Amino acid sequence: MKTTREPQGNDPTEFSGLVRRVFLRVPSADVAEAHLSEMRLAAGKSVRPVSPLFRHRRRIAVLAAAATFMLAGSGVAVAADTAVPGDSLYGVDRAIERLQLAMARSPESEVNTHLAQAAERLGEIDVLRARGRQDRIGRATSDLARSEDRALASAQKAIGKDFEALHAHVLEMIGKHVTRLGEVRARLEASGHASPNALQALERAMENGAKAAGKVHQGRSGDASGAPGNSGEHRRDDNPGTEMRRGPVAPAGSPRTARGRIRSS
Amino acid sequence: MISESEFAAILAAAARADEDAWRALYEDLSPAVLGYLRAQGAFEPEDLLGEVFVDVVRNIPRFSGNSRKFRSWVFVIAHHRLEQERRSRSRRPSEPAGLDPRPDAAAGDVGEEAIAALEARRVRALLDGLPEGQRSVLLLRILGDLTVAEVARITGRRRGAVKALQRRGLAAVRRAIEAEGVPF
Repeated sequence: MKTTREPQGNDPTEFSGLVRRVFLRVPSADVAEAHLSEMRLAAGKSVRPVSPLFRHRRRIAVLAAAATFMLAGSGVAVAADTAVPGDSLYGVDRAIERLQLAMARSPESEVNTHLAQAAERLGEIDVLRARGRQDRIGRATSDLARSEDRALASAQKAIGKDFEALHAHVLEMIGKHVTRLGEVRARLEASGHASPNALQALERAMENGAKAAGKVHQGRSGDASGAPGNSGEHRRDDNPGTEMRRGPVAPAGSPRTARGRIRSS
Repeated sequence: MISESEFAAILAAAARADEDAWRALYEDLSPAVLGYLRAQGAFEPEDLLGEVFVDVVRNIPRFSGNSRKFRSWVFVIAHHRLEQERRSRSRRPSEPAGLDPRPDAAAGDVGEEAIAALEARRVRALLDGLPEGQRSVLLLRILGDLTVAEVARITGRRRGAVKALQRRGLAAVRRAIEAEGVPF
């Protein structure tokens, strides 16, 4: 990056280098494969005609692809399902959740998927408490909040009485989450080893849950997407709590890379 | 970076939903996009990265241009997704993202990890001290390797404004470093 003047002592290129060193990161292999799977599914949605028969066939193909993905790593998938934030397989767990969401075909199925994933987050929070990994509770409560937000957003896609039913269901579940968070908080406090940050995170999550339910009572909220060509209908899965690891990347242009294969074709 | 001679073939293949082409584009751009999202304090940068590339796949048949234009286009998507996430977070207060240690620090090397963590915190503090416009311009230029014109298009600003934001941002960083009294 060129500048018109170079300051003495604090070269902006050094700052640039530091920024690159700190932030540039190759996604881990697990994350990259999950993203490529999502891209594959997205292409399946966008490039096919929408006749009912073809939509049905496409749904079967998508389910088969997801099942193949899961069966191919089924041992991994089973192990990943019990993973919590900070575990090496947690990224795989979240990737599988994103695929589950990608297969949701209606507001109701989206809501149910988001709520199921919120329940997973609640379970993970309690496991983190039990394992003494209180430093990760704050992040896990935020993941829970995000699943709840997305369940509410998905409910808003429904129409008429379907919306009212879904809406009420999500509010009921958020209320139950708040209760469970209170139980986790009580257990944590009773342990005598509660960290102030973890307690604050749980309290904040409980307050936010109650507020979210209160705000939704005021009416629907919009959520426009600014991305070009994005209809706003596609709901993405909620956030992984993966540790960022430097994934193995073959040298650019080598036959092992996609570029190498395309170049040599 | 994908060379211009390779790019046309890769783009054409990607438009035909060739997975090797997508992988090539992903491998080429994901580190920079992920870096940008992380530096901007995205709550879940890897999640957003996935969303960016899903948008890329969906819209790639409509894209035409060279590799630089494609890079700029991907960062437009990333910038929009980031703004969307911020709007969503402003409606629901949440825990800020933690600072991840540098992945290439030797496992179990506590000293290196500590230095990496301090470095990350320092840079994050310097960037957080900047107004959003200055920060975005600097990060798009540094991490995105984008020109002033490209940054102007992404941020919806005039070129002169981008240059001014860059200049002021660097000056602010310089002042902050001098105030710390600790050079890089």
